[in-house]
Formats: sequence, structure tokens, C-alpha cells
Amino acid sequence: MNDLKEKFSEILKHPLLVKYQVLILPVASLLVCIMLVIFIIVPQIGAIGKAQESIAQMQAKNKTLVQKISALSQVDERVNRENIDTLLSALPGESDVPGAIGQVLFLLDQSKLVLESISFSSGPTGGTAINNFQIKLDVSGNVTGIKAFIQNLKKAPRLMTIDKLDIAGGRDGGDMQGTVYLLVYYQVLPSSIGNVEAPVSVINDKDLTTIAQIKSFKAATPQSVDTVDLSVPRGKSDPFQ
Amino acid sequence: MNKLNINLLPIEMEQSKKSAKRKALVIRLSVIFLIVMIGLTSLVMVVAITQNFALRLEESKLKQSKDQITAMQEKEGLLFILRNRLDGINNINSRPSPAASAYNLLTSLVPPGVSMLSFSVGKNANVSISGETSSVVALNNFFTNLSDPAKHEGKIGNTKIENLGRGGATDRIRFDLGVNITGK
Repeated sequence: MNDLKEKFSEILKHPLLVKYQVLILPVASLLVCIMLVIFIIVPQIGAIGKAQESIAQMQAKNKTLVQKISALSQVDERVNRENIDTLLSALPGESDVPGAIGQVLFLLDQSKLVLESISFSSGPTGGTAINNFQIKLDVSGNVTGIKAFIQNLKKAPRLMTIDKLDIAGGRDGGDMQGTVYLLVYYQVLPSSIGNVEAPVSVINDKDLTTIAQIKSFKAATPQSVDTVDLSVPRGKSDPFQ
Repeated sequence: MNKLNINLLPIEMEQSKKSAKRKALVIRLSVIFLIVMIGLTSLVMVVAITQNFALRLEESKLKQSKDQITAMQEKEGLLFILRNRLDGINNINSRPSPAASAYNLLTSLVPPGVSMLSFSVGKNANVSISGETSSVVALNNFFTNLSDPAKHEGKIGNTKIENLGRGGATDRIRFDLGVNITGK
């Protein structure tokens, strides 16, 4: 310990140290200040700026999410499930050919047209775009029947449009033969609802009017037309008796 | 009588006093500057720590909100599917139905006395009509209706007479027309 003290005293008595001792403290404090500025103050000020930006962004995001939570908490699940059922009757998630044919038969009956033959093509499967398949109807009846059919088609719960129309006969409003090509629409249901931060889907008054309209069309259509009665002959319950 | 001041102290002492004062000032200023910088650094560090804390707090709030929304996924799914179906239905309803529109339009333009024997319309809204009439006046009225924008509301682009003649057992006037329906 005494050796160290002696060595330290000798260092302090060094001529260079004695000559420039007045500059040691200012230079050292300047160096320390420069180091503090370069390694602590400047990086931290940058980090503070970035942190403030991040905080502002998160606050804005959180505000949107809180609004979404408020909107979702007001959702009536039962009513919305009913509405989805109604809309799926208009635009189902699959082709549902029997259901569509059932509705077409009901419409033909309503329009007093006689069905001569019916055929359909299968539509594409997969993807979430709107798909359609074609139903071809050979009908006969009065000319007013075709007009009525076109009108009644607009009030069918299932979305269908006329793709092509060929009519022959109907002189002076009499009987005619016609071929109607219908496009029947469907759309596969989406498999995911998107991420948490996606905005909540809004249902406005116009949408509610559409839903009410489809509901009224559905109510006017007998439930049994949802499936086609193929009138398959029934056999014995046990064929071995 | 003015006082006489005689300084008997050597000049070196005066100089060393001045030098010592200068040294003390430099040391004082250095220490003050160092203390100020350390203070500033501490302030910056405190602000940084506070900001970091605030950032963690916001992250936690955001996570909480996301968890709440995830818990309501079923409700969100219902709304999403409703919107999906409504968009599809609105899309289909906005598509024109040229065949139905063409049939309704042309049957409304056929005057009494003219019978439509055949009618054919496809996706491109080009209509082929065959008909007959016993009255030239009725036929003229029909052609007028087809060519007058006031009658067809501008929905007929052009009409082509493909066949026109009188004959047959009933001696009625037969015509075959091609009508182009516009998208209006």
C-alpha cells in the first residue's frame, strides 16, 4: 500500500503532469461530456421519439379496437343467426340443386305454366366467388304465364335470373311453347373472418331492408319446396319378407 | 498630499496569484459543466424509462383489447358472414337481366293486332322476333314503337327487318325482326 502511495506521488510529480495539470480536469470533463452525449443522450432521444410514435400508434389502434368491442357487444346473436338463415336461402353456400328445382316448380305452378322437361348443369365448386349453375326448362302455357313467371322470379327467395329465353307460338295471347334458361346463384361461405384488427362489418338500414324483403319472399314460398319430392316408389321396409 | 504605494512583494507572487485564480475558475467551470451534463443525462434516462413504461402499458392495453375481441369471435363471424352474403346478393341484384328486360320491353311495345309467333333473346340482349298481323296499320304502329325513343325509353339500339312479306293460307303479313337492346 505504501509502495502504491509512493508510486502515485512520483506520478503526480511528473514534469509533464505538473506543467499541464490545469488542463487535466477540463479535458477529462469535456471527454466525459462528449461520451455522455454520443453514447447516452443522442441514442436515448432517438429512442424516446420512436417510443412516442409507437405509443401514439398503439393508442389509435386501441381506440379502434375499443370501438369494435363496443359494436360487437351490441350484436344480438339470435337475430343475426336468423338473418343469416334468411340470406342463405337467397344465396346458399352450395349449389343445393334440389332446393332450386323445388322453387322453380313452385314458380311454374304459380305462373300456370306446364313443365315439359327440366335439366340442369352442375356449377363450379370451391373458391369464394359467386358461382352459378343453369337450369333449362321446357314449358308450355299461355303467353301471360311467361310474363307472370318473369315477375314471380323476382319474388323468389332464391336468387335466379333468366339467361336465355326462347318462345314460340302464343298467337293472339294463346298457347305457346318456350325454353327458359335460368342461372341459379350460390357462393361458398368464407373459411376465415380475417384478423382481429380488421374493422367490424357494418349492417346498415338498406341491408336490413334487403333482409326483410327476402324474408317476406321466403314466407310466401311453401317450406316443402325447399326439397324436391321425387316421388320415388316406396317398396317393402324388409325386402326379404 | 497623495499617498505613495510601494509594493515590495516580488512580481512572481502576483503572477502566481493570478494563475491560481485562473486555475480555480477553470476547475470550477469544468465541474459545473460536468454536473450539468450528468444532470441532463439523468433527465434523459428518466424520460426514456418513463416512456418505456408507458409503451409497455399501451402494449398491455392493446393485448387486452385483442383478447376481448378474440373472445367475441363468434359474434364477429356472424357479422362477417352477413356482410359477405349481403355483398353477394347486392352484386347479383345489380347485374342486368337482359333477357327478362328485353321480353318485358318488347311485349309492351307490341300493339293490338300484332301476334308474336316466336321470341328469342340471349345473354347479349340481341332479340329475334317473328310475328304476324293482318293489319298494316298495326304493323306500322309496331315499327313506330320500335323506332321511337320516346316509346322504348332509349332501350332499343337498332331494329333490323330480316324478313317481311304477305302470304300463306291466312294471307297475313309475316315479319322477322332482329332487335338490339341497349344496356340502358
